[in-house]
Amino acid sequence: MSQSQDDNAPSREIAHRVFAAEFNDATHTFQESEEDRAPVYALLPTGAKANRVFIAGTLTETNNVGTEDEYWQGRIVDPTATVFTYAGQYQSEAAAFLRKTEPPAFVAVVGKPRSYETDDGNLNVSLRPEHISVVDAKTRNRWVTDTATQTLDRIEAFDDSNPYARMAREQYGGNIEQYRQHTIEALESLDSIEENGDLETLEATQATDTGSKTDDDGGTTVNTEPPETATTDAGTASGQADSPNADTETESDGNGLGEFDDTL
Amino acid sequence: MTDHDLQAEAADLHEQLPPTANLSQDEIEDKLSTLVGEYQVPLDEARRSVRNSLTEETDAEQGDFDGQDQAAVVEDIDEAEQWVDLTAKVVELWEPRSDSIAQVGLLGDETGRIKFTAWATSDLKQLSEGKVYQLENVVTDEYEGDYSVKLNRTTTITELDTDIEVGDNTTELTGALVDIQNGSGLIKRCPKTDCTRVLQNGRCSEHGEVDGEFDLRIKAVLDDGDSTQDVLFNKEATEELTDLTLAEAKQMAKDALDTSVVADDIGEEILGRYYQVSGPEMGRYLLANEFEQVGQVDDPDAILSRARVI
Repeated sequence: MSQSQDDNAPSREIAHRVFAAEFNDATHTFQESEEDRAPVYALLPTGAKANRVFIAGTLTETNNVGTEDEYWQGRIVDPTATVFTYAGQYQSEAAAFLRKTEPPAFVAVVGKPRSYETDDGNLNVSLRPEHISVVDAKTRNRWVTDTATQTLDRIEAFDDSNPYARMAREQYGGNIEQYRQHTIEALESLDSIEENGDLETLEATQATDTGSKTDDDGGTTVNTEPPETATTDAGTASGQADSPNADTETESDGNGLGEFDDTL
Repeated sequence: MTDHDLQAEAADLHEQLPPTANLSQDEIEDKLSTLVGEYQVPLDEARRSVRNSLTEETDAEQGDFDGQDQAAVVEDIDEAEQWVDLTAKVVELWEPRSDSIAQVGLLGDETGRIKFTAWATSDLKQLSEGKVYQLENVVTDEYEGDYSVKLNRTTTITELDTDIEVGDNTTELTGALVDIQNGSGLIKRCPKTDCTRVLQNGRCSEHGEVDGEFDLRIKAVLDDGDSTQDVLFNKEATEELTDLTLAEAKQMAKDALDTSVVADDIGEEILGRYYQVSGPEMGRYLLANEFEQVGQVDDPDAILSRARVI
């Protein structure tokens, strides 16, 4: 669709549509260039690289898990699982959003996958938001069908001619049947939501999901730990994963410096 | 000029006609002979003239006659410095910004629109807005991904007594709006005549420090999961998209003592939503002429069936 005028400027990373269950399994990260600030990609188990994702679901809970500075955690539930998103001082817009938004609410998040090692040595994946906004049910449902379609596209392209499929086979074993099942479940879940329509019924339909993920007293499930021991960051290659500079990628971002841009 | 020349010329032209052309070599030779003999037209010009009349009579493509030029349609122009022939309508004439330009404006055919420039030194017949012309020997040009054609000294212009339904290069896309770029929201433009540059810190890159005029626009990124497209909403489109008028945006910025609140507010309204957008492409931008927010797909069952059979 879009063609960069400057061949040296990398094009913007696409926001991949991925269900929470697959997103949480995308623990392997890699880079394709030695260059400074080359993008870091999370490897999706269905065989694609993702530096950016687009996820919609229900924000079911927000917590300030920071010790000194504010560090907001949000739980976002889709029909397949729960994604954890974290926003601190360098994601101030998203942090402010999580502070002020009253769950439950449908939200859409554009952000970067980020994998980190927990104290017990497990790799977890969370979502570092670039933008979060409250959306309506029809947008959330659109996302479910959009994500289903794109997940099926990846599953259909999962063969050895696809380098990311080969990588996924090496890293994760290559069993992708579960992601097809998740897709079916997600699509089937649309019916009930469509019929009931709005948020009142949503808490009920998703309560089981939330319950299975955490103790009611907000206890010590693995995922609720803030990822302060970040090992890799699917945003930049920089070690200072959360610094504002590291947040800036080398992609063209439309500064409007050209004369043409300026006059539009 | 010998009869032999005319005969050879006629044979040559006849050979290039499509088989459907109902015209003998003798008839062609007669036409040539009339022009050259009676009207003292040089052979080259006679040949060109007959060729043109044959093209009209037989619908032969101009390119059939000439190895160099190709009859082209606007949407196929995707390379600079190609010599092409266009049949196009003058959609708009603009005011030339320089004395070296005789005419500048927009040409259009069924497939789209393209800018044209005619140089003063080429000394060409003036084109009129709304008229259709056969333009032979124009050269394509490219600037930052936009194509144009240049009329030149060798260009021949023939007015045609037809009309063309001009296409509008419309691209239609559906995707999620995933980002709003810098320079969106409430902006200030240079007030000088013909300068609409956006000010950076109160300065125009051409005219220095000026009292800017407020405007609204959104430079957004639409992402369909396979690719991304920069989309530009002008003031009218922005007001319609966000339900925020320029006056309200100014008031909002005044209350907050900060213009950036406008872009933030717009972001909350539109980010993460799905839109179908259509309009012409200009450089890297799709200009959002028409757009609507889209909701759930009509038939999730079709996707479900696909998921079950994979």
